[in-house]
Amino acid sequence: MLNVQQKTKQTLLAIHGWSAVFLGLLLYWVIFTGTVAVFGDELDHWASPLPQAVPDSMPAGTNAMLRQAAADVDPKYLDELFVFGTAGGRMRAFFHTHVESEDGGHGYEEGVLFVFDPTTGDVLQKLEGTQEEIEAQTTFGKLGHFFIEWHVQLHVPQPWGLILTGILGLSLLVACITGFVIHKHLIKDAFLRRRRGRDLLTAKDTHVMASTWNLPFAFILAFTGSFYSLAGAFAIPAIAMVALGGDQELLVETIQGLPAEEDPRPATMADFDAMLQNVRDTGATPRFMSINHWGRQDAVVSIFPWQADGELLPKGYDFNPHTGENLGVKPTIGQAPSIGGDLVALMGPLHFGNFAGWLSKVVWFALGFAGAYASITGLILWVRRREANPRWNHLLRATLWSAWGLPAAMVAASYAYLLQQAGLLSGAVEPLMFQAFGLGLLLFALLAWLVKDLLLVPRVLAASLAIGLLALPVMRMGLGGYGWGAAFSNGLPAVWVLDIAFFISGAFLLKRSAKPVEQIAVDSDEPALGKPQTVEV
Amino acid sequence: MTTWMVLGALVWSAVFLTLVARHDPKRLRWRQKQARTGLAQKSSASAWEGPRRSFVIALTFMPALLMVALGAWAAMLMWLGLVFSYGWLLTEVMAQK
Repeated sequence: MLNVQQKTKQTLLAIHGWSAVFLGLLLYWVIFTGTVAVFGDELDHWASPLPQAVPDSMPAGTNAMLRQAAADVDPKYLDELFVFGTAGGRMRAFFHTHVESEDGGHGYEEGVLFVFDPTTGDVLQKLEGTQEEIEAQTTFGKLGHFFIEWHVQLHVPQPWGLILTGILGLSLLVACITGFVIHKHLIKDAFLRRRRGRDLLTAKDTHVMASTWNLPFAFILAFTGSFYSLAGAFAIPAIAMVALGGDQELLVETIQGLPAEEDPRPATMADFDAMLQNVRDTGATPRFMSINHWGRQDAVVSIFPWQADGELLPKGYDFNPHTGENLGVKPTIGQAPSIGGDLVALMGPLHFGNFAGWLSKVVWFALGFAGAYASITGLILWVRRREANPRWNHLLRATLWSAWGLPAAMVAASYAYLLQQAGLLSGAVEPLMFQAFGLGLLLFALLAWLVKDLLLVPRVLAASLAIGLLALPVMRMGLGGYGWGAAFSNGLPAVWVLDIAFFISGAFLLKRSAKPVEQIAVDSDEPALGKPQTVEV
Repeated sequence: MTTWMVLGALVWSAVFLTLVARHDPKRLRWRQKQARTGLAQKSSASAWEGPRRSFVIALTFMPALLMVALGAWAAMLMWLGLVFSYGWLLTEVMAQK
């Protein structure tokens, strides 16, 4: 497609390959966990469903639930309230205030968290303390959150985790650009998938096909992901430092405008049910509500719904807190709608793929899977080209360990979550998930390095993952979870759909692993180091 | 509404993309090479090159025009993602045969 000199091409190929050698495995971790995180909400619904389907986490009756909770908290926690749905459609309301840190750091949130059953209005959980203390005790939504945190910052503390994933996003951008330039006939070769046993040509086409078809979306996901990681961790502090002497609050005020003047006089809050219904009348379902200065003259109410059918850009509405009047669409940035604001708003749907329910999530899952597959097959291709040197064996084993071990560790974390929910494991859920995740990784590392025959390594790892996936729905049901019939009749699609997905994936992997080795060697792309190949690529 | 638009557009594009893949000159050349050594069956499809191939590729992406005209950006993104995913899947499946 692009004519570049041979020397330039070689340089770009070296950048493409060596950046993958140094960052490829971490990049795979970020892409794969992000792929699973697309269904983070559904995983939470699957792991902790309510008895009946909850079509709207903030239904009629929300007003009464919030007022009852507001009357029950220390008035200082009425400073700010966040309301949104969590596992099983439960409603989470966090009344809190911001406490300045004594050491001059960023400070922290402190308050009371209520978790409601939106159908009955019952308070399922009430936890008080700092946000960190509350999050350590709560369990709803933790499974999805655990996976999302791997994707967002690899569980590395801020800002370093975000900077790391931002760099990985940029490395994916570099891989997209260099891959595009070095591949001369991108469109002409779009269907050229040659399979010839386990030779280099096969390995090359495996990688090139996945990358070619995924290229536009890999670019989009890398760009938007880098934006999310680096904007908060690097860009905002950097702009504040250069333009405003390091004052980040001043930067926010410059962009968003000054907050309204403080007016602590008491005032009656309008009916939240009416405001939520007003948003529903636009065809959208409320997703998130924030209320500042509850019960005061200077109160602010904003509601952010899911996109209505056919909409791409997310919206937010401001309301008059005392009359309930809809004040119109809230700009993403600044005080008035702008192209810049729309572009920033576009980043979300482009990255998360959550703008059209299950359908857009399935598409984004497929695209993420293709990206993860491309990163693993790229690393395998790199090693296959150097298989005469046995030192590269370790990178191959590490690649296979990551490829199969990461999903297995995520399955192990899911087991820990289910066991803790069932009361068979005691303690906070997140440390338990970490332990199970680590054990899963360790077990797969042992298998990846102890199995001598490299041809057998992916077989053994895939079979082990398959068993883990097949047993997951069995354990969920064995621990008292809903059967498929009950889940279907109660309108809980996440439960039976994900169970079936785990079964199908497990059965597919098991069948694939059970093929005779000779047959695999002929008709698949399994990597194996042996005699140097003579095929020129 | 969006879902039906996306699925309808996907079916349209999948038909033409399958035709493009079936008559892809490079894929067929490789297959004939394999057939000569007995590693694959000879394909009955003929290679489509030049304007004919370009026309069918254009037809594949025709739904984009409709979606742009309707301002259905969400549908277009999903359709595009599905077409690319289908293209990859198709390439892999055809290589198995």
